[in-house]
Amino acid sequence: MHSFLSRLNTLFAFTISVLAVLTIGVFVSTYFEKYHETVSIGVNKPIVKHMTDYSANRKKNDLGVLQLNLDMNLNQLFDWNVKQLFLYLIAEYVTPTNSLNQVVLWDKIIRRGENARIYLHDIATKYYFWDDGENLRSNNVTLSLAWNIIPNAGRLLHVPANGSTSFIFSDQYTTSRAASPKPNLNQLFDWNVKQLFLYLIAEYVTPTNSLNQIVLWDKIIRRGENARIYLHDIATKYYFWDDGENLRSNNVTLSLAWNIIPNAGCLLHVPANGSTSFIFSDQYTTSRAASPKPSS
Amino acid sequence: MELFSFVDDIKRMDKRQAIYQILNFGMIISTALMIWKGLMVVTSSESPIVVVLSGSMEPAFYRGDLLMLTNYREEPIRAGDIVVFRIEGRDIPIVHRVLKVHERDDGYVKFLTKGDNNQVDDRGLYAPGQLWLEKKDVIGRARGFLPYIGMVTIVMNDHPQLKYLVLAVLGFFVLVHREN
Repeated sequence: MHSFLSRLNTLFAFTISVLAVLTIGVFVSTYFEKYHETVSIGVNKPIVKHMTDYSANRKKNDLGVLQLNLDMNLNQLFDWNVKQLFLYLIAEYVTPTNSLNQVVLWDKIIRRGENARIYLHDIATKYYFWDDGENLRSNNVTLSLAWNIIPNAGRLLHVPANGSTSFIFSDQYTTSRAASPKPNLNQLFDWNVKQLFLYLIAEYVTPTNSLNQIVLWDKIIRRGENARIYLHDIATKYYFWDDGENLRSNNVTLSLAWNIIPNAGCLLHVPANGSTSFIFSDQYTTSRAASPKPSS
Repeated sequence: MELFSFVDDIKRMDKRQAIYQILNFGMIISTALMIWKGLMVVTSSESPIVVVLSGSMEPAFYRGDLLMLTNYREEPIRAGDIVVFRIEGRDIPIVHRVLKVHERDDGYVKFLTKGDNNQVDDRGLYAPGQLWLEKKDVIGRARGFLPYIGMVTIVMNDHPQLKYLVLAVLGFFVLVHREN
């Protein structure tokens, strides 16, 4: 009864029993938990492209392209039996060939202890939205988020979130060329162009000043450098200070020009074709209202 | 020595006792088999309990975790589900998550999977020429989870001598042990 082996056996059996009871306790105590939460999903600019799907059947299929906005706080889902959350965003739609299609566009792992507050704006989808066919145009797609609760021990639950959204794809294909015409300054460089100095002018009128011109951005392109510029959502390089307090509701024209620096000859200032105008809001913006970012 | 007290037990055994020991052994084996087959019927899955063999689903599942599967026909496979499947021609079960589902009116479903810890989907894992998984490849969907328990299976698979040793020792002890 008190031999070394029987003591070892008893100890081992007792340890296993205690662990088993704890595990069962953890499982039972969270058995009825529902893990529901509300989220906010948004879609921007859904378009459909028609391209060859090299990852699948190498035929031309429809490719949906869109941007996502996701806003949620899942911190209260983590109880003592939640090891990890696996979030996944499903796009669900119907086509003439398939009565049900589900495509995961985005997913994320949130481990216990990590911040479960998500605020994503205008992000691209993580996975391609290929249709199994050519039926995305004018299709009504529903986006819904769900999470897979990975427990410490127990059931693997799939819980759909409250708050789904729908959108309809356009009825026309978008070709790459039409979507974003990229201007190219490479052809400006002849044998007498040493350098281009680009500058973007904001021009506007105020009650105090009949003309105001402010350079918001500039760039040097030397001969031999790539003169193709594609910048998206960049901040202005220089501050747009007014000489006064008259920017509200002001109609501002943005125009680009370049200064040709020759090897020898005239220093030309050439305005580009293609300017744009905009109007500032009529209210001041305070820092707090402009970009509500949740604290970590 | 007290450790070898069972040697005296063997010396005292008669024919009736020996038959009883063998029957006892047989009962244990058949009970285990009945439980396993019963689980197979209840869950409709050919392998109701699997051990996670690779790290492709980390950090959700690690090598050695145990998964309980069901494979009910009325429960369709949907995106986000964790499925255990076998590729045709290979017998290693793979545990990954469903990324895409395309289901036709006549009930034919095809889907694409991806491991949480992998950067790309599983098309590279499928058989040559195979682009999608079908219902017949699926062993079941993961419903329940127990951590670490399956480590024993992994150790014994990696070291088959250990498996035979354990089986031999257990069998020997069951055969000779006597309730006094």
